Amino acid sequence: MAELGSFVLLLALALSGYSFLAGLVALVIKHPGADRLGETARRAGVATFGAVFLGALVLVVSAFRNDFSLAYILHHSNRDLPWPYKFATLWSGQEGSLLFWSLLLSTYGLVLRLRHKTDERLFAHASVIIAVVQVFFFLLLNFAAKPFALMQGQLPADGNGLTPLLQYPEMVIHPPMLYLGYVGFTVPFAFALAALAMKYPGEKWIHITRRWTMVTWGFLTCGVFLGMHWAYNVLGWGGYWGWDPVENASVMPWFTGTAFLHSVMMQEKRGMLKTWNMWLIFSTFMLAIFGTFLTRSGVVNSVHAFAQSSIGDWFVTFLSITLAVCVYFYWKNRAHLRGEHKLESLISRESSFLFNNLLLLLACFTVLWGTLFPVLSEWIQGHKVTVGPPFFNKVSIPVALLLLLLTAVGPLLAWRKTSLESLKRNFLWPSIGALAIGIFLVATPPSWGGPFGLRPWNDVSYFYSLMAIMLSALVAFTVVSEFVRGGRVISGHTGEGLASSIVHLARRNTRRYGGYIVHLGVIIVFIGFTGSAFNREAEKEMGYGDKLDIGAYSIVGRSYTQEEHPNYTADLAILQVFKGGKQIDMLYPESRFYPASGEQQHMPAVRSTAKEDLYLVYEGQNPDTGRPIIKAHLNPLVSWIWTGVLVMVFGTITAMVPNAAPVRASVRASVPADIRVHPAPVGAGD
Amino acid sequence: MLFKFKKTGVPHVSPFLRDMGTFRRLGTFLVMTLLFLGAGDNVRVDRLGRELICMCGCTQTLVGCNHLNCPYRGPMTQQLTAAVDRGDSDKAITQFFVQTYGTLVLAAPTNRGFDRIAWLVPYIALLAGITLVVFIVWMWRKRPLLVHASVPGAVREEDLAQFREQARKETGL
Repeated sequence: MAELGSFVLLLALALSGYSFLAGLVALVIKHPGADRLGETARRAGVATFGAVFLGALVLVVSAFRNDFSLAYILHHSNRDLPWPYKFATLWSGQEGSLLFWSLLLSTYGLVLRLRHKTDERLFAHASVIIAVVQVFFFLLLNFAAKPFALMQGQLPADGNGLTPLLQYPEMVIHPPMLYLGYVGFTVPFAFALAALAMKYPGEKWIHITRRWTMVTWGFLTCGVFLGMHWAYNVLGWGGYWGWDPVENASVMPWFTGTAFLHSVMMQEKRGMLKTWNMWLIFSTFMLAIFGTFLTRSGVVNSVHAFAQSSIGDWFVTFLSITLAVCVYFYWKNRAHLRGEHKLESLISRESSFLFNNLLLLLACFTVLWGTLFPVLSEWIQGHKVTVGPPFFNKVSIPVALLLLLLTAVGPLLAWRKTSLESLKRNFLWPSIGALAIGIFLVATPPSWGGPFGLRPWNDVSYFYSLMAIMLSALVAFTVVSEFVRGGRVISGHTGEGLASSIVHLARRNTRRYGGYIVHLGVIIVFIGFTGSAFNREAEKEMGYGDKLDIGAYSIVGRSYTQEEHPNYTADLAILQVFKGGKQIDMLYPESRFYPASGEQQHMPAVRSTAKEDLYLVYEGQNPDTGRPIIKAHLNPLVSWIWTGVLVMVFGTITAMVPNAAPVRASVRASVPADIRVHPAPVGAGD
Repeated sequence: MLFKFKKTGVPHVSPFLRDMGTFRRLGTFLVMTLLFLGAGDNVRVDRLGRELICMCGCTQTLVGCNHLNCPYRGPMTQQLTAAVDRGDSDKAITQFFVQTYGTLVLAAPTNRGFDRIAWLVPYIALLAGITLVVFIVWMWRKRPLLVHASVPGAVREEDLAQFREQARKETGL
């Protein structure tokens, strides 16, 4: 098996190398045979997928067969590992995850090369660029991080097992989602660079890559939030985001990708920001590679990072070459990227996109700066400093609030120029609504629990929460007013009800209204984030019948027990949950021990409601008294985050659906023919 | 008799009870003060615990670390609680932890020396970005409109098509 795996990886390197070189030559030379050479390059690219797929299959089969002669399987699997995690072994270690990266890249490459008829010349250029990225990853797999390396000497009877933290159902989904996002940005990058290199006229490359970018962005969004959900449910510290360098690495391309999704609209509609968009997508791709580098090089400390290795140098070299190529083509063809129109007013949709991009890039820069500052500090001062949550929270929350404000204002602005009068008219009622919600939250008694009874003067975190909720309400009101206004126009023409008119409206311009649904999802997520200002926690040694009070809940220790599982043993606390003197639930937080790796892990128990999460952790036993320690967290509004993500995903899918045909006005037959109105397409105006 | 009713019907509290009430109020005040003093200490320990990193390598704050049998969390929390109980200032407590565990123990860079750059750069970037955007908008607004050199009054068909296409794109239909 190992020989087969190694062979197919070498084959994949050869095929992608050929795809790159032959494709490049076919594009450069002017010879009658160039087209045929280009076709062979395309087919080699298609075949690359087959080779790398076989390689990944060999690794997975080796995990299922407990082939511990492979060092990778020995270090990341064991005999009793449940089968879904054996499958997840593929991306659980350095070498396997690089193989998985290559597999996904080859899958994207396959789809691109099969759809080459759309625009053969542009696709041929993009295929060459994808091939060179594939070559880099296959070089890594063949020479620096070999997944099929063999063990030397006597083989142990069992493997070391998968890291306990990864033995959770979401870890079977989260990494593929995140990787689909990371890797997917290679496609728009390849098209952008191809369009620049060949001085491709018009915005066609943006139209071609629009869905790719949205799909990729959707995957990255899911990946980031699944990671948060996993952290919340597995790490057992009661939170979902710790500003860990690896978490930061995943969110940086998300920021630039989001900025790109917004600013391409300016290029499509107004022929502006061409250079900016080009560099945004270049940056997004490079940040995705940079994130992969951060995770694997050992440059920064992280609980998520793979083992420290020398492959960091490979990534630095690749990133440097990529940057040099981008700069070269930009410098050579920059005249081609001149804008077609001028910006006419500071109060316009264009300006709002500019400021939106500024804030998203600032958020990205802040995260990058905070992540790399320890390295910079060590380099300059000779010692590392920690840049943890207090820094990121202080710096990024104001930026996030400004972004929310722009999300509210942006849709109310017209392209080119908006009169202050119309802005006032559209802004008045949403602002009054948001203000009313703010006053209500301040006026309610604190005994209702967060976010009610907010006293912003008591703590800056309360002030931020109040602002976030008010701005979220503002966004919600503006989005709803957009739907209602457009729906009324259609309803007026067709005579349909408002609800069905709104559905028609959304189907007529799925991208725009899908985008608004994404905005609604974002504000639901933000409201969820505000809950963290009201988090409470309590810890107690709890014997049988002992009681721990937190918020409106009382937790009573009912019993403690042990369970044997094939892959681990678990100490369980059986806890009764009371509210208002009535038992409402029974929760079972666990403390697990995995013999294969010799590691222990908490498995919290969570009772989630729309208002708050009761989050219980069995922290083990006090070594002095032998009594079990239970830690309880009361985290308001956390479930809003997961709901918001679902709304964001729904919005993204809506935005990808092709527009429906225009709704036509119905004409009554009784109207005399000579005064009959000619049916006309109806849509939403901006 | 504990209560004597005057003619007005308002109960007259005996001096004994009045004294009891005073004691009660005093007792309640003392208990509440002690309770709130304790609560204040807890809040302070919690706040400072979030500004320190647990040195076990989990990269979480001292309050956030939940590793089983963590060799650092217990002793560090005890040191913090003791310092707060002694009434040490935040600065003194921070200095103590830096001296004991090194600068990595602080969850965020200090606002001194080179570390201050960490805090300043994002705000400088924000100001620079806003200035840049305003400058770009100003430059673009100054850019002259493209005027065709064709005969005035005669609108070419291709120009009209282009304007229609532009209008279609800009109205988003």
